[in-house]
Amino acid sequence: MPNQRPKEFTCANLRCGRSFVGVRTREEGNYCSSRCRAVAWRDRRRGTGYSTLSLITHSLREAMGVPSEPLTHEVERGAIVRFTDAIADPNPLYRDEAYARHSGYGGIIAPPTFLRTLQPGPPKIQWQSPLHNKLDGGSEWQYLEPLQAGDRITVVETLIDVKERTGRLGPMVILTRELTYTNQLSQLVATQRWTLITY
Amino acid sequence: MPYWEDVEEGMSIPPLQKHPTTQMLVMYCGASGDFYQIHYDSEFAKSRGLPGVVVQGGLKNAFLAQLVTDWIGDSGRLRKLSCQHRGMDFPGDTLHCKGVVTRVYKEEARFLVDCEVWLENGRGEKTTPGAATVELPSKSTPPHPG
Repeated sequence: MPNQRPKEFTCANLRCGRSFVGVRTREEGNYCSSRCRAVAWRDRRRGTGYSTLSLITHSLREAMGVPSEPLTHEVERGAIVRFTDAIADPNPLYRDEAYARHSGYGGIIAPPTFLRTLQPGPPKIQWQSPLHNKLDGGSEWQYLEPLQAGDRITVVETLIDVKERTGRLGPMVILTRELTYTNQLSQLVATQRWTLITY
Repeated sequence: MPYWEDVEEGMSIPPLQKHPTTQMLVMYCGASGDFYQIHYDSEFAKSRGLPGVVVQGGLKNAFLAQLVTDWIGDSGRLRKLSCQHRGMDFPGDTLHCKGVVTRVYKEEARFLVDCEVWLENGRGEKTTPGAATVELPSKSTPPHPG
């Protein structure tokens, strides 16, 4: 860990605000005690006006708009079959080679949401929500080219928006990522705007 | 499978019923590579403030995609699909996928249809609203080339 030297901090609980000496700078704010942390979080939850604390951390701001490294995957026929079994979609376009060949596609294709199984490369600037519980907030897809078995798809992810809100599950950070899926012919196959709710 | 000319605003899409079970949720974990425990470990889900294991957003996304692709058949193309996971769904419930046509139009020589789609649970609650745009074959032009 770099820079472990003790430093002077101001307690992020505005009801306390006392100076104290600590060793680690925490992105979500530094508290002189766990009690102060709990009080500040309660204030935040209740919106008492005592909290100016933002859950949108420095790393999230820095990472916004920076595309991840690309990562390329082969769309395997077996993976398509496993996926369509899991979603219980019997469409023959996804599994019957002879049928698919006589369709407008000329071969087996993958279902629209199969792309979710392909991971993007690692971010160039590491980011993480300060809240660790996750829920899928939803997706917006745009489809430009068909996704065929045997395609090689390159996935890039960019964090494009971060919001904070208080909901049923308490304070939440809502992260929107845009993913692009490009095939071996450099054609953009699909884009996905994917919202992740952390709480 | 519908031609663009056969579709009218306000028309319903043939509904689709899906029956997610805990086994299906586990299969989806395996197929998607996402092993977050709220989808199969009830104790873990409860410790995260949830009533029990919840159906993956991705699975519901796939159900809505199937609703649309079943309707448009092999000659139609799904161009846009969105869904928001507003409410949680639980295995054992029957999920009703439904949709209605909201706009029929032509754009850059493409024959397009917008739809509102959604997923309703057994209690009639719309947990997953969404929208889709599809491209359909027209009687006035030949189908997609081979």
